Amino acid sequence: MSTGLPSGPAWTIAVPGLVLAFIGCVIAIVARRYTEAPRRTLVLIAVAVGGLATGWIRHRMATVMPDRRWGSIAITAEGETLLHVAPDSDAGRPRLRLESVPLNDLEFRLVGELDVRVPERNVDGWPLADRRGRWWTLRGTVAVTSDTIRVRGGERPGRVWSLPTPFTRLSALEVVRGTGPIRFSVLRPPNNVASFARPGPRQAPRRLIGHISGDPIVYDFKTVLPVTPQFIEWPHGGTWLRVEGGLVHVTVRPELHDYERLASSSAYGRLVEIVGVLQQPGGALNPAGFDPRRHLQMSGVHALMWIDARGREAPIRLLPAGGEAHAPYRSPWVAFSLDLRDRLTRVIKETLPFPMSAFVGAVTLGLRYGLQNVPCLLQNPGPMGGCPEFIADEFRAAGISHVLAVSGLHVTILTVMFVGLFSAIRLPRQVYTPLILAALVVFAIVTGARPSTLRAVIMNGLMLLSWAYLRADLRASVLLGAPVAAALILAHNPFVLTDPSFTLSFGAILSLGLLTPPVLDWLEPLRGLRLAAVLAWTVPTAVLAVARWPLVTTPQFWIPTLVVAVGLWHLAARMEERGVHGPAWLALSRLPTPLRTFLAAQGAIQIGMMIPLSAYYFARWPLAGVWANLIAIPLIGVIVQLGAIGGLLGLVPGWGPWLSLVLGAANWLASTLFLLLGHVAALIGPYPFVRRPDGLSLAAWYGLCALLAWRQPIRAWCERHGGALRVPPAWGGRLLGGVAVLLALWMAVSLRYRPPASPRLTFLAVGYGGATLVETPGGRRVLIDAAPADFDRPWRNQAVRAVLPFLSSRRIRRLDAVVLTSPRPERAAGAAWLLEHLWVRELWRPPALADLDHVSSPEVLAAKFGLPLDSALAALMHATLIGGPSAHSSRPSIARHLERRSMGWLNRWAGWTVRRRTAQIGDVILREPTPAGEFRIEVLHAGPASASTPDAAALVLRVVHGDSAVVLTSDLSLRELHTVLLTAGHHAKADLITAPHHGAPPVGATDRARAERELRAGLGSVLKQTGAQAVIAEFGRPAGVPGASPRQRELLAELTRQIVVEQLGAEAWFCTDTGAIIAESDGRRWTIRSALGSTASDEETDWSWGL
Amino acid sequence: MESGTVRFLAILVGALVIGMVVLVIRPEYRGAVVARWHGRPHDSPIWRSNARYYPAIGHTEPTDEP
Repeated sequence: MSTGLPSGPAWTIAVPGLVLAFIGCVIAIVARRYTEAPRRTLVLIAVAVGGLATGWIRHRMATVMPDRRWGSIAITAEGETLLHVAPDSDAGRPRLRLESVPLNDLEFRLVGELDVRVPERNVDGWPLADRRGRWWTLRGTVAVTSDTIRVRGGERPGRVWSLPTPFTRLSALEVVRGTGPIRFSVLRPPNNVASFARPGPRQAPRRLIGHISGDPIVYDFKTVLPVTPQFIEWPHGGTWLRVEGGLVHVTVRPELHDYERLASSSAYGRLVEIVGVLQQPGGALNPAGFDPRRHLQMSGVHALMWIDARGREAPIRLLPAGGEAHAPYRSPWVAFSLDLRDRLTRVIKETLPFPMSAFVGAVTLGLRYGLQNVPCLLQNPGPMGGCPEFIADEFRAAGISHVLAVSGLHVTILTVMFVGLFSAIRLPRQVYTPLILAALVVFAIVTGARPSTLRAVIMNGLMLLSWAYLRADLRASVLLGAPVAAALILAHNPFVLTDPSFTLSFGAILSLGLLTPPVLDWLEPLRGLRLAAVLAWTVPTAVLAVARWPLVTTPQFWIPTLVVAVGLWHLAARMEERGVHGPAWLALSRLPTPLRTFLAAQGAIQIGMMIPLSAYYFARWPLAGVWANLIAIPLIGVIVQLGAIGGLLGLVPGWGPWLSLVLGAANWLASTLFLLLGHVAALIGPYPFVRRPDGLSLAAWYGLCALLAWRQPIRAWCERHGGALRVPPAWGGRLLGGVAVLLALWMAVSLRYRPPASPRLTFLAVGYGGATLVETPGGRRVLIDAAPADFDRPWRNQAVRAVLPFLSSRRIRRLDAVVLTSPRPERAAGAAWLLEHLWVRELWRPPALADLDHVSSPEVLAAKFGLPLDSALAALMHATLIGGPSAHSSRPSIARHLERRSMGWLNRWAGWTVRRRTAQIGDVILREPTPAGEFRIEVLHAGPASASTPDAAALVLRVVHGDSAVVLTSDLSLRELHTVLLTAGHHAKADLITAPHHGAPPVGATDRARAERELRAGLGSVLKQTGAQAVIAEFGRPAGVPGASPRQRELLAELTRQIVVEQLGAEAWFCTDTGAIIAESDGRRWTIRSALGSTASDEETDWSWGL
Repeated sequence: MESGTVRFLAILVGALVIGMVVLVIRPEYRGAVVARWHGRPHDSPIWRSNARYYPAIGHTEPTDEP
């Protein structure tokens, strides 16, 4: 049974944590013995390691779901059955683990009893519960028998059978066929909600009762309710099993009756009954792609439900408890906080116009979902192409999106504000500190208690306590607070261990604490001519980075400019030696101390957090963040303080709302400035994709950071102990330098691209579209098709969401060629974004797109491909190939990027030019000799320059390696493909083909039977002509794709799958089932596998089982 | 930390002055003042611009009866 979570014996949980704790103890002892470290450092190490070990153990406990041993069963050689299983208090679905090698084939069943439980209902059919939320149930006992378990003779011990039948007691074994000896352990896995969820929407609905365990997440088009299920009806119409852990995210839409009550925070804590499809969250589709399953798992969510409002029965009901509309699971403290948040939101809505209200709501109350898909204030083209169209995307590109996640910055701003407020009325700090602590706790609850907020509240709380009552040093409080906060947060929710908000938050605080002093040490001595030399080099480099980011990342730029930098530095030093100094005011030490520290802190955060972790998590680095944060951070301080004070004043009757309106007006100005800052920074600051570091590269980077942070103690230790080893005192510095060079080399090597051992094709899962990366052992890379993209639906921009992150994770920044096999947006649209971020030596296109640079009007393009001018397909093709009207001049398009990458001197210096190629039949796009024969990509067919439809313009490619080949059919119709393959003769032979139109080739017939006949004839002819044994379909959800109905495409894809597998006897690989697909060749044949290691068979589960 | 008092008060006073100026200049804020003066804050152009922002949070709470 597929549960979505790994399972295993309990010892797998504890051992890694204990090993970690042991390593921590060894480190502490060694540190005490050899480093003479102060006692406080050892306490910090012990707390940090303890926190990590606790978090690790709890994380494993939550993700591994250990099986409990329930007993054992055995069958002797004489056929006697032995059963030692104690009765269980709750029903569970047992798992059998084979413990001995069976000599014969055996079939048997488990026999036992099940304590059936169903909720008691009132006359309206609603389940009844008392005021404390305990359900009233009716109970009974029935006899149950499991399905037949079949064991083959010689089976290896360790195999596990998961039985869907629930038992409370096992009483007998019923041997159907065969005999022993054989022995099994009976395990009892927990009834986590993950074990009831199944992949895909096509499954029977489930009914469950439970309570809404969190604040509803409200979007403008839906609301997501976090529900803790307590009982689930399993199977449909059968008993109700107790659910032992896991949350369900239930999505409700505004069409639903009662939506307003569900979308309000008053729903929190209420009992609910829900009927809907219980779906397993989908995993990542591509390597390095976003993994929704893992993301939800971090919040303890293991299943999803979408409520369908069309049924006769209400699919979700808020239930009374003890006969009243009462929320038994509502904590008064949380209820107060949420009520306060709603009141503050109302004040914000009264005092700030949209979208400033959404921005202030996000930064003061953590309502960041309200800022999703909110268009930005202005739209202008940026130097590298498009400026994002939504505020949240702009903030990301500007490197200031961290202000939207309530974190240490916000908590510190509020702490300082409250201290200021209470100090102004002359209260002693010992009196007001508990009040501030209470306010911070309420703030944490109001803002959703995310790891970053909890960390900040715990740290600020500790800091305040030690400051108020112990009068402790601030730095010591911060360094002690970080590990204590980590331990507490991980103990509460271990899932956050790998959550970006946890690592980014602690990365930021550790960078501030450890790296700010060394950066300050660098900045302080800069004065006079030396500072002038640094500025003379930095300012032009920064300008060039903004104007031509690709240029400043090339060795042809860095080598000469570094020579210039060293020359300038030496010149300044030589002149200073001769007594020529610059003006006295030209010194960083002349800046006020807070400003100097602030600059150093920003540098420390870039080094310790932004550069490595942004590259690791997002494969991107926002360059503008370096300067934009210098303005954003002070400005956000003003906005948060005004938002908080204005909101609280708005709750005071009388003059309160008037004062609140005045402060809201001032905050409108500050918020507008902030949004404009985000816009300008996103406009002029590049937001490039970078090579994604792996664990080794990150370790090397943080090794360098550690050397930087502790260089003085390390040097001092080396100098002290160098005498004993008879080495000179300078040994410490040299050792540090040597280690730093080694770490830098290590990082450089691990960030290099590594080609595969044999030619490889990776068919990325990009929805209804195509993008295939071809890699050769010689390190050549070609991308065939560029994935779909759509301006109105940013979530469909697969070039940015899937292709570029994948290439970054493979450390690919240069492509030998991009080949567009069709003008359709499903294949070509993403090229505009690829040309924005990658070095592309050649762009190959079909003859019909040869005049791409000269076609300008939508009319000409629509007429060229025989499309109605007002059709969505014509509009999207024009927008992505040529470029939309001037109102959308910020949007990237292929023609615009080709123009930007013309033969100017800066582009040529950076190697940023693109050679345009028009494919003709017989052209060879790539050729490389390999030991198993020549590898080449050749053009089998090219549509005419005057193609009358987009499909007729398509290219058909053949990828050949030795004696094996793959035919990529693009968007040609089955009939045209038949003609092409007929003409190609023996050149058409292939082991593997891609299905035309991503697996849904259009047919003339409208009814299913005729469509099936037509498809069978067409696909059969293609398979016969090529001799292919496998078909790959780059199929994905076709909703929103212009040109045909999604339902029809889904039907065609389903028919294709059936025909290929059942009638033609070939393998069918669909990206919807497996995610990205890899095909590798040894020169004789192609081997196909899922890039993520899963196969379609993983999804075949026993969900249709019934009692 | 207590040095933040002066900064906080300066921000507050500055914000009140700037807020008054914005109140006079911006038409939606003038509209909000008029609407509040007449006791109908939900008629304010500012409130109306937020119609789709957390629509469940209105001037009247949804009833809590099942």
